[in-house]
Amino acid sequence: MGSSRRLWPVSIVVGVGLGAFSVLADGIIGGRLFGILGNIASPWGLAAFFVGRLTTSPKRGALAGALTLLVGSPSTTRSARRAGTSSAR
Amino acid sequence: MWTAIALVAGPVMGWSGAAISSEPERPPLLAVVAPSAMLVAEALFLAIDRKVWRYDLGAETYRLIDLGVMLALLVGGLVLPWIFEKNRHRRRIVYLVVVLAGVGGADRVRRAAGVDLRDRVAVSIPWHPASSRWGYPRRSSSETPRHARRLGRGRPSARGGGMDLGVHLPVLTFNESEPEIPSLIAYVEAARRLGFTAVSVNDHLQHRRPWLDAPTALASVVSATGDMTLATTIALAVVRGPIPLAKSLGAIDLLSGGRLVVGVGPGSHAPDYEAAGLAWDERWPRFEESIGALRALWRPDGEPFEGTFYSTRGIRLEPAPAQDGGPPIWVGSWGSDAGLRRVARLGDGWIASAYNTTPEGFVASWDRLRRQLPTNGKDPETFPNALATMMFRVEDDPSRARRVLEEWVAPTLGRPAEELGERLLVTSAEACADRLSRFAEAGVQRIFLWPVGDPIEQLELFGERVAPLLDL
Repeated sequence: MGSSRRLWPVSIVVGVGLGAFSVLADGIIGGRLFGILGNIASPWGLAAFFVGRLTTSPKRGALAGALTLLVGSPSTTRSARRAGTSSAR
Repeated sequence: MWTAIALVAGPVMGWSGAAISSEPERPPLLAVVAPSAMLVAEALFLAIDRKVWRYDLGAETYRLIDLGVMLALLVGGLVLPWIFEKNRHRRRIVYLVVVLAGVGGADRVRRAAGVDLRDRVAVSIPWHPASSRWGYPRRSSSETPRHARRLGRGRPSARGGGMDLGVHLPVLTFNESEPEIPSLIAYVEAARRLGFTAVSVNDHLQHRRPWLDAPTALASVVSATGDMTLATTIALAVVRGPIPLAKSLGAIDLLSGGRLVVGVGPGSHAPDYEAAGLAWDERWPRFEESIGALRALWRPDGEPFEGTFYSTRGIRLEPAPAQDGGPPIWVGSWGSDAGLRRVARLGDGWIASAYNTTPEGFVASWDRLRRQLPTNGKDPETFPNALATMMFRVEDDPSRARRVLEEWVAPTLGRPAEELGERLLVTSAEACADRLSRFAEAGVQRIFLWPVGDPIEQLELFGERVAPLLDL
């Protein structure tokens, strides 16, 4: 099921992609659908699952799943704090 | 937190995928159950959290997306076993386990997230990376809650003892989707149902967050406001220019049958002036002139206004507003001596700013203002006031409330989170009620509440949990 050499790069790319999406969906790209998808867990779980499908080794699959979620986590847990000036009077 | 969880959920899901790949004909039951149960659990959690049995999709079309996501998760959870488990007998076992694990998982998440059907606190899925931000907005009810009543006693006295509550239109978006007329209408309908007596808009051309045009937003909900008072709190008289502003607000007053109160201020956001090509340093003299111009434009048969910056000579804006002489003009001030003198001299009422005052500060400013009113030919007993931009979010969890302040409110208002935490209402229901009561005792006659995220749900939470604690 796929080349195991692709496993680690794919894990990283998928993790980064999900992390970026989660940050973007947190108000940068609008729309209810993006807002929900960026705030539910299933896309992350499914991503780890399908990354695991790239290998036939359960051990490597588990590591790849962990890597995917760990790579994405810093970008999602980082606060989207923005500096601002005065606002509504 | 997320790192620790990722170290658990990631390997389980990755192992499941790999295990199915290694034994596609007879995969381990757990490998099929785990992803399916995750999807089913999240679908059920969404169903509980958003109370699908109370959906009114006709009135709140954006909830169709919530429902669609929920159904997609459910279908996905049921399809995965069908794809990966070929043996019919084993598939039945998988489905049984998935349903049981899904129900159990949803309940576990619900408990962990603090979601209770009676006590709809903010939620998040703790094993989700987004748990550091927002959980799911709670849905609104189409039912009239038992506590529905007018939140106030009508015309309040100038000495306190009566306070109305109004709402700000959510022209500033936090976690909600882009504004749409149906969602704004649904918001105003919820406010009316809950007993709020007024709806207002704040005004900016540009801001740190997307900001819907204020007069346009207010006009779009006029038909849903019933007998509510409409207000601007405040409109940028200088930035917009008194003549265009008189035209658009005069139209709103006419279309609403004379229910508009025009709050005006120079604004506090220099980029608005840059955008309009105006000098920031000229804002105060321009502002004072703009009030004179507005009054003259709304009294077309009176004397024209002639000033340094504006002249209304030869300008006749028709049709005229519904109210004779135009809507009352309330002047915004944060409470400085100069600002209060300006209110006394030029205003029909005072609009204070919630994040720029405290109950004690309001008492002092209100007393100073009232002392100046007689010398300007105005009666302190009938001169009205309002407190605007009271951002609120009912949050029982102090750490979550702190996150709201730090990540949403402080960057939006450009003030320290600690200060805002003491002045605004991002706190428990009991603390919200206590702070509002203190403002009522201080003499505030109307407070405009502004939900921070999940606007309809927060209004309902307010109605369910804060309003019963108030004696307005």
